[in-house]
Amino acid sequence: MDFLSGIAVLYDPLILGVILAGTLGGIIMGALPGLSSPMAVALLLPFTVYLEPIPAIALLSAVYCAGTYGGSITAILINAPGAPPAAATVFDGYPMAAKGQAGRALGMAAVSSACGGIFSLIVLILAAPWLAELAYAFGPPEFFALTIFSMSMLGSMSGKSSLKNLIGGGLGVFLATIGVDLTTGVERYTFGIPELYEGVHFVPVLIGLFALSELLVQSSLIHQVRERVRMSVMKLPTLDDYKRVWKTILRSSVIGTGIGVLPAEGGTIAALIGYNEARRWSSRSENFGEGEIEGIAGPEAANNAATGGALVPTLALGIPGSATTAVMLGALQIQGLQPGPFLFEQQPDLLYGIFYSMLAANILFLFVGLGCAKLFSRISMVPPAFLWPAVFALCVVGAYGITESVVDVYIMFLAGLAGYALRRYGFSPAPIVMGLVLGKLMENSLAQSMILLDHNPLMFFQRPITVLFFLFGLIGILAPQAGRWMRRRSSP
Amino acid sequence: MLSQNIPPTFFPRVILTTVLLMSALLLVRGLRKREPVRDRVPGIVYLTGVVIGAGLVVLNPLGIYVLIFLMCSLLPILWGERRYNRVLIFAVLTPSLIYLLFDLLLGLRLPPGLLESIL
Repeated sequence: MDFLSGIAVLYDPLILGVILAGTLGGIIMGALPGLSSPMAVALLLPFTVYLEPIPAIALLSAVYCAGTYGGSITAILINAPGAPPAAATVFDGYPMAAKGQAGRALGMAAVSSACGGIFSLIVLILAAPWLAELAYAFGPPEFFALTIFSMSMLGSMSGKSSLKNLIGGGLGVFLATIGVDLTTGVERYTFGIPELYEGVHFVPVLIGLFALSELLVQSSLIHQVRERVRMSVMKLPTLDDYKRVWKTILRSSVIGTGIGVLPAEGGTIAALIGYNEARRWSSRSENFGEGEIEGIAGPEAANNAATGGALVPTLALGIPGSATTAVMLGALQIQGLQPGPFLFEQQPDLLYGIFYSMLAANILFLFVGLGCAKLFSRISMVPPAFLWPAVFALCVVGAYGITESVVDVYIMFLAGLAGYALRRYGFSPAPIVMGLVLGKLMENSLAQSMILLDHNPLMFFQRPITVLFFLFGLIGILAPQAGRWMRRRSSP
Repeated sequence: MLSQNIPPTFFPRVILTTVLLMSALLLVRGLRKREPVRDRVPGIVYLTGVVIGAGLVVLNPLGIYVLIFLMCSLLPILWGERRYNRVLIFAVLTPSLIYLLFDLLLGLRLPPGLLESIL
């Protein structure tokens, strides 16, 4: 019944307008090189405070889905992914465009992305309530173990080094400890600054780490000339193309959804695995890298399938499935909602509203993406000397907007400088954000667990779910190391 | 430690110690590798950072709109844009749009600073 009643959100003109605006905005932001979907969602987050919960989350969801697709436009037309999840689309997208098949490549990216997104939403609609039922068996020890598992998964998050990702995650958790300790009321690391008593809000840190640090990176690339493929004719994929790729799309949708469900894993890894599997199973694997249409369908279906998948743990357990869903988790909290099993019981309309909004966004960007690809290709050529100062303006307003405090603007600036330095040395900003979002839950669930377990940490190991998550956590930490060891052994 | 109530210092210290241990491991691993040749940070990055930092220092007296106007004029010129009429239009349009969207439409009162008497 709730499932059907949720569809009512699509009859609300405000929500439909918000979804359309989010879809257009998401594609544009995704298409602009350097502007990724976590950054787009982070920049928009402070302004959703002024909206009701359903339109607010619908806006962010639409930006999330459409932004992931938008990245493929620049990947195909200018050989530079607009967002990291589109990195694998470059391999075959740009060669196709160079051969004069830009329309075919863009069309396939739109269709595969929409199919992947819709598939994962169906899984989300079916799996999230089931997972939420399961979550009733979760107490503080289980949540603590789950946060440990989520942190361990940072090791395999996209980036150059698993150890650097784990260090970044640890720094994020440490940042989350700033402010008054909820259990004892003692101030920690506030240095007498009253604005820090309630802790470091993750929005200014997020904006600084993603947007301002990117601005500094872009300042050094300002004179880089990007080659652009001209689209004279918009020729879409043929029926034969679809017959050739439907298995790839289905396979990548399953892969993307599965990867997205794992805490901390996101579209970039899903896309890379989707691309590799498409090549492995293809009868034309030798054409990959030279403009093979399956090389677009594979990563595009997978990266968009990861968007729905990532919302499963976010909504059912309150554990973000990716950097963007970490921001959306924050948006839900700002709206006074606590994701988890109780949200399914108390606010089913809201949840199904989110699901249907995402479904609408996926269908919308299919049409908008196909119809306006030529127009969006021009957006990617906005001069960076104008684009990034405008982004800076949004950074300042966004950082200020959440608590209306100038201190948050300074925090955003410091996070931007730190983000630039960390990125230079191979640290990705996403694990820091995940750590910052998970930190509070981790500490609170540990404190509650210790009271519940009579201050005996060994009792953690008497609970099967807890033991299972600790084991998964151990595997999450050791797997990348084992993979590296095996690669080293196999290389001559 | 865990057999009593957890003191407020416990969790941050555990996290910091873990981060330090992982950093030490990273350092040891790095010693075994040859230092990659890293390009120097281009001067424009420092300049951009200094301009933004200086702007934020005077954010309170200037207000957000004047700050955005200044940044939208200085940063494009700093980054090599020489079409000054376009820069001026952009620098006036951006804070104006932000005022329309956030102040008038969404009701977010941004610090007006120098423009307090007008806004």
